[in-house]
Parts: sequence; C-alpha cells; structure tokens
Amino acid sequence: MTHSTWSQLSSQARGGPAKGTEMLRFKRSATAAAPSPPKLAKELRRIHFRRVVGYYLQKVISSSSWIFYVVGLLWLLLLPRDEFHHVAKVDENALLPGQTSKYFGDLDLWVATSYRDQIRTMGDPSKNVSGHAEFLEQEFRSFGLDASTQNFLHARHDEIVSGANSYAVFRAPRGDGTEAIVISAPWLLENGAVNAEGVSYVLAFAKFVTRFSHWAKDFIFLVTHPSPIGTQAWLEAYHGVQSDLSSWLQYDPLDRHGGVIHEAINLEFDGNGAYSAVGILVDGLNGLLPNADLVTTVVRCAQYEGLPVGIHNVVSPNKFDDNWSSYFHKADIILEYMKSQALGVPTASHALYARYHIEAMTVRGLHDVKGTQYPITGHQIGRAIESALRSLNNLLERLHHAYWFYIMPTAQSFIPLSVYIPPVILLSVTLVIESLVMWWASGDLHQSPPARPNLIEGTEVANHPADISAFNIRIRPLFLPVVTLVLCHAAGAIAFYLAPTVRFMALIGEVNPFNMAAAVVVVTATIYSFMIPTLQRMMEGSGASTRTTAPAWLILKCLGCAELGAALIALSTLNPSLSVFLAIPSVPAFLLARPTESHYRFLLNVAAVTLASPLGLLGIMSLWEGLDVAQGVAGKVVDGWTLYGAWLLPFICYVYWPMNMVANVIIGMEQ
Amino acid sequence: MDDAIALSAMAFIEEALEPLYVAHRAQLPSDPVYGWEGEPSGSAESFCTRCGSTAALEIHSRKTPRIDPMAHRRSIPYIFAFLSALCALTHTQATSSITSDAPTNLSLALWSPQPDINEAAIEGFFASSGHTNNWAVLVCTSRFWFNYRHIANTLSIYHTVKRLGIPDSNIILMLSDDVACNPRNHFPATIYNNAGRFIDLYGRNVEVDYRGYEVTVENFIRLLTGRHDPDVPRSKRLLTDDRSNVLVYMTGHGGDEFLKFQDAEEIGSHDIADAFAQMYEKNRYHEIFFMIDTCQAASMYKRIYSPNILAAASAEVGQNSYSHHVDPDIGVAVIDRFTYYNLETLEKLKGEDKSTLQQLFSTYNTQAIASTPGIRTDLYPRRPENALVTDFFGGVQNVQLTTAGYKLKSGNLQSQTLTKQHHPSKSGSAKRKSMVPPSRNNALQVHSERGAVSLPFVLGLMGFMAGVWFLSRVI
Repeated sequence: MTHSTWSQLSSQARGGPAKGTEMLRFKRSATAAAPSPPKLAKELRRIHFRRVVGYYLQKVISSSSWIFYVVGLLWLLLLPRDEFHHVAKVDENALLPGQTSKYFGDLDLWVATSYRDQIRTMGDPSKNVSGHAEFLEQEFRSFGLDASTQNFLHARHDEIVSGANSYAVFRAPRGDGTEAIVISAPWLLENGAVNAEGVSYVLAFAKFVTRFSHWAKDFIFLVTHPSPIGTQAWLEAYHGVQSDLSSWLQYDPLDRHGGVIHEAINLEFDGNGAYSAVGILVDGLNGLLPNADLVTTVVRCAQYEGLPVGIHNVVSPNKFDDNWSSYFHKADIILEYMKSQALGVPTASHALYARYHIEAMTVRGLHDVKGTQYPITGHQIGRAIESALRSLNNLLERLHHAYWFYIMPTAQSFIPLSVYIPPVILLSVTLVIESLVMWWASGDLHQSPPARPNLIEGTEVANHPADISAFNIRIRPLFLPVVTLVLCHAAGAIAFYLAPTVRFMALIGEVNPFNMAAAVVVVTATIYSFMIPTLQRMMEGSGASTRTTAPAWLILKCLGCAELGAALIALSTLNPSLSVFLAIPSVPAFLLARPTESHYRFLLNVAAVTLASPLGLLGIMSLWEGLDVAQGVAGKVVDGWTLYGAWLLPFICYVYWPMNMVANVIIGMEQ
Repeated sequence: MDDAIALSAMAFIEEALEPLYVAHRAQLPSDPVYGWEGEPSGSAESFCTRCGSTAALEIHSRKTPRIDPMAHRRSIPYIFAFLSALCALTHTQATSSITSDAPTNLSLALWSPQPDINEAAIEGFFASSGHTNNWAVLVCTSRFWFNYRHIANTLSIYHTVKRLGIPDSNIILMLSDDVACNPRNHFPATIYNNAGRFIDLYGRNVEVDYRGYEVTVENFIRLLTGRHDPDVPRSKRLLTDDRSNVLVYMTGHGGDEFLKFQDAEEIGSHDIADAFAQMYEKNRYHEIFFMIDTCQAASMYKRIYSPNILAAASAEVGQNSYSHHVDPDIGVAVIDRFTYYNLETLEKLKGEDKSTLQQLFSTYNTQAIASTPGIRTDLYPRRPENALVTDFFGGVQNVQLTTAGYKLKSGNLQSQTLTKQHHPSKSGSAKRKSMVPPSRNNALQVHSERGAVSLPFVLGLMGFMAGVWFLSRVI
C-alpha cells in the first residue's frame, strides 16, 4: 500500500501538479481545492512514518521470531507448578458423587470372589473363545438379563483371530430405556493375564443391579475378547454399522439393544490379589478425552471409599517435602500423560468409545504403588463402582458442563485448556511468523531504513527517494516451490500406503529394525536430496537468486513454514500433546533450514532436520526408552490406523514427514 | 328426618341446580369478570348469568361502572342458603350458622329467629385482620431429580397450611416435576422431607393443580392476576377477593432478581411486583404474605410496591440459600434450610394459635439457616407483631355454633372494614378509592339487595318443599 501511494506521488512529480492534485483529490475527496504545500508535506510525513514503522516492525519480527518458541517452551516448563492446576470440581449438579448409601455388601463381594476363582480355573481361556462366552452368557441369563454373544473375525497380519463378545442388557425397571451405561471388561489384559477380577466385578454388578429399582438407565454388561478390537466390533455393531467383506474386521450384528450409551466404565483388575490403589486411564483414540466430570466423579467416588487413586501408575501424595519434589513429581506425570495422549492409539477398551460421543474411562487395579500404605479391599472397589454408577444414574442428559480438554498432573487436578493452550500455540506460531518473514525477505531488497522524502521549497513537488523503485521489487518464483511441495507430499502418500505392508513384512520377515531404518533413510534421502533437486533443475532451473528473482528456497520455506505451522496449530486444539511433541523438534529445524556455504552450518542443519524426521524421533525414542519400545510404538501407530482409525500415521505421512523432506530440500537448494 | 333423607335432599338440590350451572358456563363466551375489557355484558336480552336474574344485573350496572368481580359468586350463596335451610330444618334446635365468606349467610343470620345485638362478639368472631378467607399459592419451580428438595419444601408447606385449615380448594399447588415417580427414587411414589422419613408428603390427599410443564411463568402470572383462558377450570384459578389473605410461597433456583422456572425461563422481581399490583388494582387480595426460599431470595421482593404485602426470604442479596440435609438412601438433599426451620415452628402450631408472624421471624437463626433471612415490612402497616401466623398459614374458621343469633348493624360493619383497609397515601390513591368501593363484598351490600335475594330464595324454598313432597311420594 505504501508503495502505491508512493507511485502516486512520483507520478505527481513527473506528470506535473495538475494531475497530482487530481489524484490527491481522488484519494481524499473532502479537499476540493488543490492542497497547499504544508498539507502536502503533512501527507508525506504520514506516509514516511508508516514506512519507517513498517520497516522496523519487519526487522524486529524477522530477527526475533524464535522468541515465541522460547516463551512457549518456558511456559510449558511452568505447567507442573501448582499455581496452574485447578482442583477438580464436579460441574454437573446432577452427579452428586458419593451422596448415596452403598448397598454393595458381603454377599455381593462373595459373588465376585467366587466368580473370580471360577474364571481363574477356566484354564487358558485365550484359546477357548466360545467356551468363556458361553459361560458368561449363561451367567448373565441366570440373573434374568437379556444376554447374547457377538462373534467376530479379525484378520491379523498372518492369521485370522476369532473373537466373541458376551454382553447383557439390564433394562431400567422404571426408566424409559432411552439411555444406557456400559460396564465392560476385557477377558484378557494387555499383558496377557486373565482379567479375572474385572470380569467377576462385571458379573457381580450384573447380579447386583437387579436387586434395585432405582436405576433410571439401562446397564449393558460387556466382556470383550480379544480386546480392544472386540470393543471396536461391538461398538460398531451397536451403532448399526455393518462390517463390509473387505475390512480387517468381520462381525455379527447385535441381537440385543439398550438405550443410547452415554457413559462407559471399563474394569481391569487382574485378580492377582492385593491391590494398593486404583488407577484411571482417560485418554482415548486420537487423544480424545472424556468429559472431566466423569473422571472427577469416578475419582471422588473412589476417594470417598478410601481408595488411593493414581494416574499413570502414580499416586500423588497430598504433601510434598518441597516445591521441587512436587514439581518433578508432577512433571513426570504430565510427561507420561502427554506421551500417551500424543500417540493416540487405544490404551484400553475405553479408548474406542469416544468416537461415538460416549464418555468412557478405564479403572484398573494397581500393585505396589509408591506412596500407598494399605492394601485395598474388594468392598471398597465394589462400593466405589456402585457409587459412581449411582451418580451416573442421576444424570438427565449427556455430560456437558465440564471441559473435554485438560491435562492431568494428578488424579485430582486439571490443567485447563485456557492455561495449557497458549504455550502449545506459541511453539507453532513461530513457524507462521517465519513464513511471513520469508515472504518479506523474498520480495523486498530494502536493507536500510526508508529515506525521508523532501518537499522542494515553494513547489508541490517532492524529491523522489532513491530506495523507491520498481527495480527494488523482486519476482517471487512460485513454480519450483509448488512442485517441490507436491513431490514431497506424494512421497509421504507413498510412505503412507506402504506402511501397512512394511509393518506386515517387519512382523513376518523378522526384519532387523536397523536395516529397516537404513532402507527408509536411503530411500528418503534419494527422494529429497537427489530426485527432487534433479527434477527441480530439469523443470525450472536451479532456483538460485538473480537480480530480478528471489531465490526459490525462500518461497519454499515460506510455504513450508505456513503449512506446518497451520497444521500444528490446528492439531493443538485436537491433540495438544502431539502438537507439542512435533513442534519441539521441528520448529528449530525449520527455523535453521537454509542453504549455506558453511560446512558446519550445513551439518547442523542436516542434523536438526534428520532428528526432527519421524525416523529421527523413533531413533531418539529407541535411545531413550530402548529399541523395543520404539519398535512397538511404530507398530502400534500403524496398527492404530489400520484397525482403529487413529490418525497419527496419516498426519505423519501426509503432513509432518513431507514438511520434513521440504526442510531437507531447502538445505540442498541454491542460494 | 334422619341424615339419609337430608343427604338425598341435598343431592336432589344439587341436581336441580346443575342446569343452572351449565347455563351459567355456556353463556360466558368472554368472561367479563376476569376479562380485561371490563365491558358489562348487560345488553337487553342477556340476563345476568351469575345471579340468574335481570334485576340483579341492573342493580350492578347502576351502582358501579365497573363489573363487580364477586358477581358470579352470588349463585353459590343460594346453594348455601338451601343447604342452610335444610340444616335449620333438620336440627331440632334452631341454630344460626354465621359464615363470613358468603354474604347471604349474613342475611341468614339476620333471618334467625332470635335476633340479638352483640357487635363485640361478632367483631371478635370475624378475623381481627379483616380477612374472611385464606388462599395459598405454593410454587416449586425446579425440575429434575436432584432438585428433590424443592418439591419436598413445597409439599411440606402444603401439608402445613392444609393442616391449619386452608382447604384444598383454596390451595393452588404448582409442582414442576414429579420426583415421586422418578425412576431414580429409591422409595417409589413417595416424597420425604426428612432423612428419618417420618411423613410421606405424597402419600394421600395431595391435590396438585399445576404440574410438570404447566408450571410456567405465564401460568403463574395468569394465576395471580386472574387473566385466564375461559377454559381454565376453577380449580386452577385463584378465586380470591378483597377479603382474601394470600400466602404465596415459592422455591427453586434463583439469582439476583430472578427465579428460574423449569430450566427454560425465569420470572423477574419486577414481574412479581407488577402481578401483585394488578391483584391490588383488581381487589384480589386483602393481604399477601410472600415467602420465598431460593438463593438471593431477598432480591425477589425488592420491587414490590403494592400495599398490604409482607415478605420473607431465605437469603439476602448476594447470599446463597442452602439445603438442610441429605437422605443417603434417596441420595439427594431432601429439604432446604429456610423451609426446614420455618416448618420447625409451623408444625407445632394449632389452628387457633395466636402466635404472630413476628414471633415466627424471631425464631430465624442465621447460624442454622446459613444465610440471613430477609423480611420486608414497609408495605405492611399492620406490622408483623399484630399479624397472626394463622392469618396466612391457617384458614378462617368461619363456622361457630351459638345458642342465639346476632343481629348485625350494617353501618358499623362497613365503617370498621373501611378503617381496616389500608391505602397508601399517595397522590391518586384517593381518586382510586373513590372510584372503587373499598369493600364491595360485605354485609351492607347484601343487606341492600335483600329484595333481589329473597325472591329466588323463596322460590328455592318452594322448590325444595316441592322436592320433599316429590320424594315422599316416590318413597
């Protein structure tokens, strides 16, 4: 805009006062007469001021866009401090946790323990799918419930696994049967142990609820095997989805239905005896969280029964020795929490409910937890579950009062969205600003503050400032950057379509992960260091800067920063932890990436970009937590997509990895 | 004659009167009493459907330019007259029953065989507050299971006023939810106001007039102001007159100058104030006791500007009002503190109790209630020290058997009521006073209309005798 104003003025200088007056009159229609010299001088001063401000603003922003990144990092480091935590309150008035008498008594506990022993003695139930399903269905029927079994087939890499979900519907005695609560348990736990006590609690509660008429909602008791894929099959069938023949998962439709499921509680108690605490798992598929009211209610109900409640296998003490021990304790939990949320793959059966707008969480028994003193009893567990069910039974509508976005530093407190989202966005906003800086840098050659225009005394003509010239504006080459972006995305798409195959080969062929990584490195390096630059040169020339053209890497970096920044900011609202974990390595890598003549700088750039690549991140993970963990995570991410539709893999392949390749290409481009 | 005959005779009279009622209803396309226009429907061919006589209408029309709000009630007295006559006949000893709310009964008193002048006794007999009937409007505005306590509050007050003598016909009970039949209720079909579960508030004989989604701000204001759709049954109307003491009790969730209805709408303090003002303009009350149990309840009576209104609220502006205790088996709080401590006093009262409202207010313990109850007396010149609790929570006991009748001197009665009716000395109020007779519904008026009254009475007596004759033939 400043530019066009100046061209007006210069044309005025060239074309004489009459034309200039007309143009000025056009600009400021209020002044009918020709402007007097002082007025013109004032106008010139205004324009000059704006140019100067714009120039210094550009300069400040260009040199200090990294500030946002640093501020964001520092803010993240502050999050474990207590000042940022809100003690969880129940926002939904209807829940009233812990207000009711609990009727779960000795007899109910005896039912649970006898079922536990029976389930334990059922031998190796993982092989005998139909046997346990039959047993469960029969037991459910004996309580007078509508029981059934859903069979499903699950194609797993090299074999076809058959599974069975047993479930029973308890109809609300006086309710209208429009709403339902699910109490579920997997038959086998993640570690392969039989979920003997979890299933026995499901059976005990199936019997327990029939004794009372104060239930306003249907209860659905569900035992899935294998899990969590069984939960997926059951949920899809419950919501009327039919499995198509080409999918990984084939399942029967359900022949028993209850109301609309609003909440679900998943029980995992391995039955190995003394638990020292109960743990909660909240994060679902893609890091979606249940409403905070559900979590708070379950935690409160457990605490009212005297159960210590832990999150990520840690029970937080009420008091700490000093601020630093509190800080590190909570920082540990937050880190675990964010890691789990960032991966977004199902950690337990509850994770799959979120897709159907069902608030769900897992309660599991924890052994040998630091900070707990007494073993907890089955009474306490049963009464806590009953109390939570009574609270959920009070609900009149879906949980909606509390928030769905939070980070939990302990089981009893939250960091709300308003506190944690600024640092997450600040990290990625750096890239957006860098993109702006690149755009400025590619278009303008002004490297000095704008010169002051001088009005020639006695005339209406100003001196033409030397720095205002059509020749100072460079052409921004767009073709080469766009082609590069398209090629990188195409490479990402290929990686995405190859991922399941690679996963299959890795499982079947027992491929050495180092070989695999090396292969990926070679392939990607070939793509982005050789093929793309070659293609670039063939199609568009080198992309180096000329007198009239800006270098192509500036535009490429501008577009890349904009895309990655926008993607990470959008991601921060959906899965803030993932956004943080991707932004922390990739933002500096992108800020640094530029073609350079210095070898050290070049090596630094390449190292930063490689570390920020998905493979680099896996490498860091294998150094930090061991090769197995990294391998497992990679496998989980691929499985998460193919089985459950977790979109970490597509995001990595379609957005993150291509952008990383772009950064690599930038380093290799001409200056 | 024994009771059976008397009963059958009464049934006969009721049957005989039924067509009259039907005619009465049918000829009321727009209810001129409750309609806004106030246009007297006294065209030449239409006779006054309420009195059943053209003469009466002419008298009304001539006397006042406005319609007499009590006009339609004149048909009731005839039934009373018949029944009274029947009673008089069936009793060997001639007794006169004096009822204060039906003017004709005064005429009956005058008609009694042993006239005696004892004005002091009559004055003492009529309620010293100047009211002749009691009404209660009890409103619970909250829905949902966890608001159990609001319904229990309202029903507790309902049972109290009923016990103290306000009949169901004079109680308008508005309950916005049915927690008794809520599936979450551990004790189905019951409502308790105490964890001890001593009284089942929903057990028997509860007459809910407005329930569920009928409890709206609109219906509440229509109820107070009497601006009903013609189809609204009488049981859902507040049929008060200018001798009625009205207890308005509300409970629910509120805030500064509003009270939430049904989770969907709210009534403002201005709405309530204006509704009371309309009631005053239409002579629909003698005195009002407005009691409200909600958060910031005192804000709800802040805007009231009509005279003769006393108000008590559970909490000052800015304070919350709290529940009293939880019944763990039911799982929710069962009563609010303010109502609980009111009931503690009220439940000990008997019908003839002489405790004053000031004594009730002095039982309020800020510590126990956990909020500061607000009391507004500036619109109430009679002072709470002089008002009995039973003036609002109890019904007028207007039947008393005496051995001798009393002769009323009409002038005395009117002058007395005139002095008791309070009008604020604002400008304009004097004009209103002159336009609207302060008490149109007293003995004097009936006395002056004796001619109009006695004719149908004689006819009725003849009809009754004919009925007795007919019955004797049939039997």
